[in-house]
Amino acid sequence: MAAALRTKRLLRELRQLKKTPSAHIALDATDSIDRWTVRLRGVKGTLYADEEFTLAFDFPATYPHEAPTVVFVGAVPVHPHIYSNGHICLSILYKYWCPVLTVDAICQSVLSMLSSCEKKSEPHH
Amino acid sequence: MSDDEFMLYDSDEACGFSDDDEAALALEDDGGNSSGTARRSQAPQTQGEYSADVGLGYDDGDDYMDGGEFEPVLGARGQRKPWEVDFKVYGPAGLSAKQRAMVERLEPLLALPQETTTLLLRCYFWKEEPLLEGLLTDREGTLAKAGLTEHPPAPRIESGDDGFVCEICYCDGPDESFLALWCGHRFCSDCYRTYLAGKVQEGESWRIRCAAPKCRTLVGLEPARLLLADDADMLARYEENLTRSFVNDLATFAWCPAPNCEYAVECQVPRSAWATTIPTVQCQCGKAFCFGCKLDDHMPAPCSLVERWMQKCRDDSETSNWIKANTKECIKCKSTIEKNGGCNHMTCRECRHEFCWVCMGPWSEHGQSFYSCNRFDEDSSKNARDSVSKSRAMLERYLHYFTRYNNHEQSARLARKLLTATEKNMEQIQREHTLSWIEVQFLSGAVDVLSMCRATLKWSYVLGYYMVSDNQKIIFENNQSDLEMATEQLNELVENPISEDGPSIEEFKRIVIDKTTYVKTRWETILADIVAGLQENRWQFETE
Repeated sequence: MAAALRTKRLLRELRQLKKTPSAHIALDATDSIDRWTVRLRGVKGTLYADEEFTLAFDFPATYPHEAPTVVFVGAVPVHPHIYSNGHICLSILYKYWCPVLTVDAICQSVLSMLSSCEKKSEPHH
Repeated sequence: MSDDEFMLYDSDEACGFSDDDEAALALEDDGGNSSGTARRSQAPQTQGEYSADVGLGYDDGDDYMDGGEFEPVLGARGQRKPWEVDFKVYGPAGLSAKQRAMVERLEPLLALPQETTTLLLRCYFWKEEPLLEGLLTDREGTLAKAGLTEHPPAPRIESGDDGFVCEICYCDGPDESFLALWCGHRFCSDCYRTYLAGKVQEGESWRIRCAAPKCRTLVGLEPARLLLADDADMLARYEENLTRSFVNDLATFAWCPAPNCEYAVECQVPRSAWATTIPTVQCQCGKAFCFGCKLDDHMPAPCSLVERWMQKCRDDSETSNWIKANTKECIKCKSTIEKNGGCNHMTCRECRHEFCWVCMGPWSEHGQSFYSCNRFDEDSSKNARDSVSKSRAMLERYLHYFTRYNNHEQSARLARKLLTATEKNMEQIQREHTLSWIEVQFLSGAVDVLSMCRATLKWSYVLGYYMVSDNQKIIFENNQSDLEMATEQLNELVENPISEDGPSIEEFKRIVIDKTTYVKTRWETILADIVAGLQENRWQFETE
């Protein structure tokens, strides 16, 4: 039941993303429904303008009731809330996850996190 | 200060616990009387004058919760010792009743449905005053902030319509059933159930909000019951979380820390008073603990000192003190060296550096003058020696108190063993002297007093360790040594009861009873004095 729900939901999200793609977000071709990679392009007029990053999504069996694991792979943006191993310190991915949130919504949140950054710096350790 | 700033409970209730009640309680949640008022039972029952108004002067804003259901009882005062605080023990059923009572008291004032009132109280951590203030100044805003509405419609699971899409699983159409709270966010009942169950498993209860992002609407008990109707276990867990949060949310309530104990204790001594009043409480299960720090009973040392002491005993600071006092470091490679004999010409085993133990300077500078150091009086070596002896003195001071603290702790453990031995003794005396059971109770009574004094003595050494030496401390130490001496004498008496050439049983009994009474008096004296001193700010404690 959980697996069926997950597949149904992910297929639907996939369709929606393809039908109405959001600006700055591009879905990479994938052969597995479990792992998606999404390319983000930094918004013009921000510190990350035209930089490109890749987010990897891993969906647990209980998705969407549990949050997907989302990390940066490849080049990691220099940002106070993003660790060099790609880990993102974003509340909606952990404590404030809510099953209504989608891949698209997560990408938007990450983008707005990047856009609102005023000074590129690494996280405090 | 008015009387109702204190929680004084009906003393009759204290003994309102028959064995039957207790048994019923342990077995079932809804056993009738599950709350009892208590005062530490180990406290001796001698009469003494006590006035709550003089004794404990809390002037804290935290006392809005008393009223209605608690009646201040003047009669109880005479029995309370200066070091005792009032508290009340609640079983599961008692807790529900208490919650209900708090809601019912507020209900007519708020003119809100019971469920809304309950949730509002929970949001305000059961503090009536700020809640009422919020409602009076901005009724709508206060409710909205909490995620509530004045009169929410009864929750219903409805069938979908053509426009219905569950935002979680994307199921749609009239075949699906959904639930929407008054905020209007509709989710199919399967998703809502899974969402709720997930939160319940995380330990949540009333704080669960509508599944829509950023929506503050609280789900509440009724919708939860509706959704979890087919999952009795989950519903039970939800309700358990609710009770748990009631005790956790209220500053005046705490769970008994004993393993598997399901009682909670209410104590009105506010946090701000914990430095001067030690809120020792005793659970129905027998566990005596400090309401402040939840550690085992540590009368007569205040929580802050206990915390410092435990930390001191735990960490390695004393080991390092010893190292400081007994060893030196090689100047060159920093290896720690303990000199256990031989001359002052040291050769470091690690780096082969040669130096003088007395002045720590390199040996080469000492020329051929073996075994004597003419550089001894130089300032640098003087300073080094001073710091070593200071550190040694501090260590010795600590060890003085720690040995005694530890000794009483061990003796208390032995006293428990002694109790078993005493019980055997009592049987023996009963048989040999054809006495009744009641006539040999003086022995176990003596052992009880003994354990009590050991505990007090143990913690009094923590108090002594931090107390600044002044005239007040001399008085304290006199009391302490009086009690200690008397305790040791009583211990000796009880340990070697009857011998052939000793006193007769009647004589022995008289001696033990006399000694017990004396020890108890000493115990009361020191406790009363320490507590009074705390409240009068008479003791000066060393700060770190």
